[in-house]
Amino acid sequence: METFFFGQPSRRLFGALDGPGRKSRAGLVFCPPFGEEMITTYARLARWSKELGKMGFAVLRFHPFGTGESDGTFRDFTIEGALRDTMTAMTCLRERTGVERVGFFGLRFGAFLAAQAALASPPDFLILWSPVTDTRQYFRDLLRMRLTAELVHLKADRVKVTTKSMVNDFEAGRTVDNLGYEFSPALYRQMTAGPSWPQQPPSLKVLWLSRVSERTQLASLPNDWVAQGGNAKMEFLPELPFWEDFSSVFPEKFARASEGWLAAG
Amino acid sequence: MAKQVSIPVEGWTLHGMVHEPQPLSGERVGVVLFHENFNSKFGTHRLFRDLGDRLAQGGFYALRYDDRGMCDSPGMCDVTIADRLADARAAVSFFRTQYKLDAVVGWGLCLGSSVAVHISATGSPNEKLEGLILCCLLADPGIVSLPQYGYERVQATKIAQEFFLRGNVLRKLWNAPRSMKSWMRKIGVLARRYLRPTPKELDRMKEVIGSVANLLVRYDGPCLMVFGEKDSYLTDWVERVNPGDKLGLKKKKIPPDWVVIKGGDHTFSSRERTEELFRLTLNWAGPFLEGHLPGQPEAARQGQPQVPVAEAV
Repeated sequence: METFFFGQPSRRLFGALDGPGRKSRAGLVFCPPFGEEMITTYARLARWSKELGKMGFAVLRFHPFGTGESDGTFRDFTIEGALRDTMTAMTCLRERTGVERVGFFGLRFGAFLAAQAALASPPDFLILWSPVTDTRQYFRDLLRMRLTAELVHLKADRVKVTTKSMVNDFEAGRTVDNLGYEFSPALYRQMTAGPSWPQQPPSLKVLWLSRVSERTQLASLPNDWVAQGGNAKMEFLPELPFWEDFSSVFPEKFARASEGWLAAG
Repeated sequence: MAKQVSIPVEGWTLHGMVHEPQPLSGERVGVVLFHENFNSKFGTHRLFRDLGDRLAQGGFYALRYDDRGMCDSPGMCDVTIADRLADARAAVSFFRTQYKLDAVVGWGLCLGSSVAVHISATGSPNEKLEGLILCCLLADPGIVSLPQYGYERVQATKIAQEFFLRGNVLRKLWNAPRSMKSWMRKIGVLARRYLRPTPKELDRMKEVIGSVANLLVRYDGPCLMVFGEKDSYLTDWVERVNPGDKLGLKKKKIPPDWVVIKGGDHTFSSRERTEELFRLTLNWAGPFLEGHLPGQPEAARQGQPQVPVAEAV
């Protein structure tokens, strides 16, 4: 395993590369989930990356600008910026390993990033775990999490902040502190009116894994992708929402299904 | 800007990041940041990474690291509590010798603070900690659990209390036959969990956590204890670990300084609380840079009475 900084000096990104380097079967860029989900899943996705490395895949885990070990502060984080970083990470993976077959992997918001990056530059394959398909709804849920946290700690009548007041702050050009993460007005704009979920599969080969309980929420989205040809495979598995808490309980079902799909070529 | 370092320990390598002071002033003082159970070295809402930067701005060296086989450290390992302690010792020793430090302070959050207390009890001079900053200290073995072993303790008394004391018992019993299937499933799961033997590692972990309070009593250096006002660990400390200062911390030669951050939760998750935590850390550890130990807590320096250890809530 190798850890390093890459990208422009003004936008230094942190990366961790697993796998046999130039002898790799294929390459994967891991797109991390957003905010606290990146933290709760970090150890587990690192573990899966190391496992894939042992299986002969080159895996680059990277931290978008403003997150993890990369430079910048969280208020610098935007969808546009993270997409650029994802492309930079793909270039870095190709340069460092020379692999020909490359793909994106993403969990939750990372899967949204992976799908968007694949639209811009279609990879050979794409693996999505429980993707966030509606960033507008997702962002609202994040704001509500702060309200929930305050309701837990304070009596309802002492909670001053509302979703509307936070939105007003964004509209007025102010950042909003959401449980220690400083969301910028630019992030708010892009989350609520930015790129939408691709109507067509952005890569020839796609594996889409979601939890059984997400079936109704996703409506016909995955089926639309499957119906539009290509090689889009989708499965609903009885996986735990492992991104919701800190533990080392490993997403075995998602991981093994993905490994089987990758091994099948 | 932090630099990557590799810390060798028992055939493993830990991936670490060192923040160097800019500019260097006074004594060479390092702060080792010990993270919580399954976290990474940058931490929840980047707490550790930001603290590292702030410490460097304040004239300190700061080290953050991932445990063996975890996160950005190479290899894979189901880390045990013994591994964590060995990793922490190696990190402190590495930091002190490689950076020629005059003093090393341990800064921990949750399980990280328990680890710091254990390291403070070490005999080796290179692994010694001259000061401790303990945030949301985990010292109550009763709240230790290990999800990595699929272990969720089932307490029959608690379940009985839940059943008989909450809600309408008669209605529950009346409805029971109709929801028999659900009941059987619940009872089956609970029985299996109740009968499952306790993993040895959980026992070891409880033992390590259970000895934290006594080690803290024996620790003879300066110590700052910080809790979030809304953190349940504060209640655990005050009601179960040290009720009425039964440990006698207030009578120690150097009693721990004690601060409760208003509105703070377990990870101080808002910019305001985080800033307060950083300010406290830098103020308290500041005297180390001038070659002496932290003295009275801030409250006492301002002429206010010190918040008594056991009566803060």
